[in-house]
Amino acid sequence: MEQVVLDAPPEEMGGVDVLNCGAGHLKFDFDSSQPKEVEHAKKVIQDMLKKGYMLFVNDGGEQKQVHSFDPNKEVYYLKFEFEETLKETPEKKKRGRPRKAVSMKGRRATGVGPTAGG
Amino acid sequence: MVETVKEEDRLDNDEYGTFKKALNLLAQERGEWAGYPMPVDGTPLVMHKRFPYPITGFQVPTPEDPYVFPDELGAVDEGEITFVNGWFSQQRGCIVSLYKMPDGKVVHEVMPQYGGPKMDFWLNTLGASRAWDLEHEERALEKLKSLLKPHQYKYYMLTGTFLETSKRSNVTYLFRKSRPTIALSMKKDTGKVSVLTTLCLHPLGYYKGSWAGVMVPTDDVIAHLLMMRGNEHKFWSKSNSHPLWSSAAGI
Repeated sequence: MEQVVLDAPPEEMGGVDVLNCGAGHLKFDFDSSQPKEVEHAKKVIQDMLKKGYMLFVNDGGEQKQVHSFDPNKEVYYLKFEFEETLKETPEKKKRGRPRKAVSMKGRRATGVGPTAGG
Repeated sequence: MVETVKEEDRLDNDEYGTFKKALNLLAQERGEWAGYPMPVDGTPLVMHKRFPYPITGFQVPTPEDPYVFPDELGAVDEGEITFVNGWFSQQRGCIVSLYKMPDGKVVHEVMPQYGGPKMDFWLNTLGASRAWDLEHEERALEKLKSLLKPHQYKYYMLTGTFLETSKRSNVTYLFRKSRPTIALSMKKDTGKVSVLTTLCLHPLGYYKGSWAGVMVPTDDVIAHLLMMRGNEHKFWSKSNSHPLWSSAAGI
C-alpha cells in the first residue's frame, strides 16, 4: 500500500531546478492550476529520470532521492532506506516493499545530472 | 576626464561568451538538461559514461581528445610497457611506480606529490575557471542557501567550507568549495577526529588535472550535499576516493 502525502498548503511553487553548466540553474516552474505547465514539467521529469539524472525532493524536512515518477498520479516515488521499511514490514524482503509517494504539486525538486568521479 | 575601464578588467568580460551561448542553445534543443560543458584550451575534459559523443559536430583543437570516458583513463597497451607495482613513499613524498619494458627490464618512475604537482592542480583549476560564469555561481549560492542552516551558510561564505553529519552513518562531512569533500569520523567520547577519505565527484564531468568541474564550484557542493543526504551509499560508490597525500585530495 503506498502512502500518498497530500499537498500541504503550497509554500512554494512546484517545479524542478536542474543544475546546468551552460545556464546556471534551469528552472521549470509550474502552477498547479495551469495544465500546460504541469504537463511540460511532467515531460521534463520523466525525460530526466530516463537519462539517468538524480532528482531530490524535500520530504518532511529531509532530502530524499526520487526513485520513479508517475505522471498519471502526479507523484514521486522515493527511494527508501532499508532500515526504515525493515521496521514497518520486517517479514518482507526488500523487493516488493511499498515505496513512499509524495505529490509533485507544491514541491520543488532538484535535478543533478549523471556524475563523473573527479 | 572620462575614465575608461580596460576590456580585461570588466567583470562581464567573457572570452567564451558567444561560444557558450551557442553550446547552451544546442544543449537545450537536444534536451540535455544539464547543458554541454565548455572545453578549455589545454585542459582536457573527462565526462561521465553516458555523455553523448561527439556532441557538437566540430573538433576543439586540444592536445588530447577532450571527451574521454573515465574507463579509458590509465589504459595500458598489452605487449608493450606493463605496470608492475606502485606505492606512496611517505619519506620522499612521492609515488613510486615500477614498469616492465618490452625487453623485460624493470624501470621505476618517481612522481613527487608535493610542490609541483599540487601547484599544477591550482593552476589548472584557475585555467578551467574561465569556463564558469559569475552569475551562475551567484545563482548556485542562492540555491545552496535554501538547503543549509544559517550558520552553515555563514561558514561557507566566510571559509568556503561547512560541516554536516549524516544521521544515517554518523560520518561527518566537510564540504569544500572547489575541493573534494572530506569524510571524517568523530568520536564523541574521546573527541578523536580521524579522516576516512576524500570524495571527489562532479555532475557531468570535470577538467583533468584540476579540482574544477564543468559546473561552477557551488553546484558541485550542492550535488555532494544532496547525494549525501538523499543517497549516501551512492555518493560513496560514485565518488573517486583520493588518499590524503595525493594532490587530487586538495589538502
